[in-house]
Amino acid sequence: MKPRLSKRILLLLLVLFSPFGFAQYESLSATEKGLAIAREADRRDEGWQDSSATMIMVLRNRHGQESSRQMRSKSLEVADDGDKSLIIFDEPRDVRGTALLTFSRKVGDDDQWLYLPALKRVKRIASSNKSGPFMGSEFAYEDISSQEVEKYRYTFLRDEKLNDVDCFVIERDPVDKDSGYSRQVVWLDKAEYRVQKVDYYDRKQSHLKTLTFYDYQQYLDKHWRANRLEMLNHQTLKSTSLNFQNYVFASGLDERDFNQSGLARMR
Amino acid sequence: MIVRSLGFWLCGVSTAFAQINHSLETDVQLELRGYTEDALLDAQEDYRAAVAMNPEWYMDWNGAQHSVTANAFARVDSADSERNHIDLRELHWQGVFDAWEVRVGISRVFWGRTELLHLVDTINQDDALENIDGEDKLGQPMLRLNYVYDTGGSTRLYVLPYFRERRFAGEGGRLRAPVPIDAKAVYESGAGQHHVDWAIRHQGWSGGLDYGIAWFSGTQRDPKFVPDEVRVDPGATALAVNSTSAGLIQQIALNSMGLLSPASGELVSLKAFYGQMDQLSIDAQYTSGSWLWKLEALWRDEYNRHAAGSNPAIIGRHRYSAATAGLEYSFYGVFDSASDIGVLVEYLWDERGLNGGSGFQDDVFLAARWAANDAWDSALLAGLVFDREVNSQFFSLEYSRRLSGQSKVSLEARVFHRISDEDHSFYPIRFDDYIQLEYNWYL
Repeated sequence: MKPRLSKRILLLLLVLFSPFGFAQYESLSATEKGLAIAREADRRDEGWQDSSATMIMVLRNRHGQESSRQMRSKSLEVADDGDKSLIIFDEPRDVRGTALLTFSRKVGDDDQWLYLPALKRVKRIASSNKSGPFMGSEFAYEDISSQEVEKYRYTFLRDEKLNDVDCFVIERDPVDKDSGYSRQVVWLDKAEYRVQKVDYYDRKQSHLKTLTFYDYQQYLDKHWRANRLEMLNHQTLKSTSLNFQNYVFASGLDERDFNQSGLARMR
Repeated sequence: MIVRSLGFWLCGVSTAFAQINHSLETDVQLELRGYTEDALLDAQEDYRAAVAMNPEWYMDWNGAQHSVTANAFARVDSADSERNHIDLRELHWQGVFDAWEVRVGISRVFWGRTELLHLVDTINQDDALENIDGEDKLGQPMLRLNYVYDTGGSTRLYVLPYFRERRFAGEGGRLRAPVPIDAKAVYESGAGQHHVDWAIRHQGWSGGLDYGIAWFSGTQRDPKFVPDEVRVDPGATALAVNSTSAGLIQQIALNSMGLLSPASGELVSLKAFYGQMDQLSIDAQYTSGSWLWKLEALWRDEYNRHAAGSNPAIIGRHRYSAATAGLEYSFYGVFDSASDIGVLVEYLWDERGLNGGSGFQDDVFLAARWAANDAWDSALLAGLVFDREVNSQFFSLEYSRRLSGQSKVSLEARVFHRISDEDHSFYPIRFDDYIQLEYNWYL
């Protein structure tokens, strides 16, 4: 009985202290605190198992002309490595049926296969193109890929209110030399550790893009997902909004649903 | 558009699985092609306009455990009546049972890694009426059993009960042999088109390596040619066609073998001959950073006994190898833009030599691919193939961009340059340079 009791006390202490000024971060350096916040955000989202959603992208050029993309995405949580994901393209029609399978890695290049329906061909593709635009949008491949803690080095910058919401502001620097960014500044709300905004700085240190998250919704009483993401490119004035619909979690997807041998039958 | 509906006729099944998905999509393609040089033969047209339709219907049920796919292709062509054709590309049922996939019906399969020549891609017959690049295929009736490992690899067994013959351009068409090819083919096997071919393939990956190894036993997909009709001309000693092999990219019409015409006659038409073969093939790609290393190789044991008598250039029992290997490197974000440039180099080798087979016996392929990564997916592919033995050259340029969410336009130009008369694969089509505009509309 005794050890159990002491555990309870410890838990009680944690609960008591954590909402008041985040005592656990007090003695940490800026680097340690940045990493601790990123880890906490990651920990809070653990256990989602798998998810699927419909993604609708609207691309706008500086004259306001629009074109749209529609995809379906499926993701599988992998405990000790990066997650697996599958994106199936529905619109525009010339790429319908194309599927992109990604085994993300915490360190190094992801493994990626592309299924080309016209040729019935599954092709391993180079995944070193992290900074390239995804589907001609303002989202780069690295922006939509699995956000693993290990992909960045962190520094806590400051506490700040963003639209009246208390936030941590941290800087994260991509570890990968192929990243298109020198650094990213991220706003996470203190209440739920959800990313609210990201400022992207290019390799020349100039402000390239801003990503803003809207309409967070909670799934399985735990996992927060934004229904709408807005990416604005400050240099070209092009923007892309990414809308998620029909989120489903823990539907029992397994490794076999993320297998390049089965890519050809993904619909 | 995917229409979802509850299948009331599946009442017995639990409602969670009773959902049936089905979709119907049609691609319509308009094509205009102009040949820039006068044709070799008077009957061959200089321009063509063509329309094609390609509807695909798909349905699945039981949470996509079962599916049926039907895909038809129809083409109407102004210049070549042979090119007015219909093909059932797919009509199959597929069932997924844990690690097993069963597919029964007409389907298409792709094997391989390299870009110019799909050397080991064996199962489906080329639709040679569509393009010379070997990427359009006829539907192949099959039973396919696929076992998928948890690691991502799979082993596939194919049973192919019926053979699809290659079809050839008609009199008005270009990119063809200088003599017509009779519709009736001859076979090594007594069973003809009904010979049951089979194949087994294992494919997998480990780290940066993707690989496949396959065995195929059955009817050769590439035809050889034997004389069909010979006009006897007692005075003639010269041979109208003393050697016919035109393997352009994937053998437009004739392939292989210097076909010697009879001593004093003129060859009026040819017949396709399909031998038997056993073939072992491997294909692999190693991916590392921005580099892709690619390899395809095959070892073949051909049985052509029934043709060896009528065309001395055909070897009754022929064992040989062929290979193609290359690499691709990509530069990302070039010219301070979002564009990528990929550079490709491939080497093609065939033990049978210059006029023994594909025509790619000692050839180098160089290409650059530019992708704008813009909202229209604009892309340009420029390529050059040259034969190191006789120095024939082939240039190709392909550009495409999206016009809207439902349409796309492509431009294609191909040039045959300095084709040596020793190069029987390309010599008959040396005047067939063309430029083509294609419009795709997706319904």
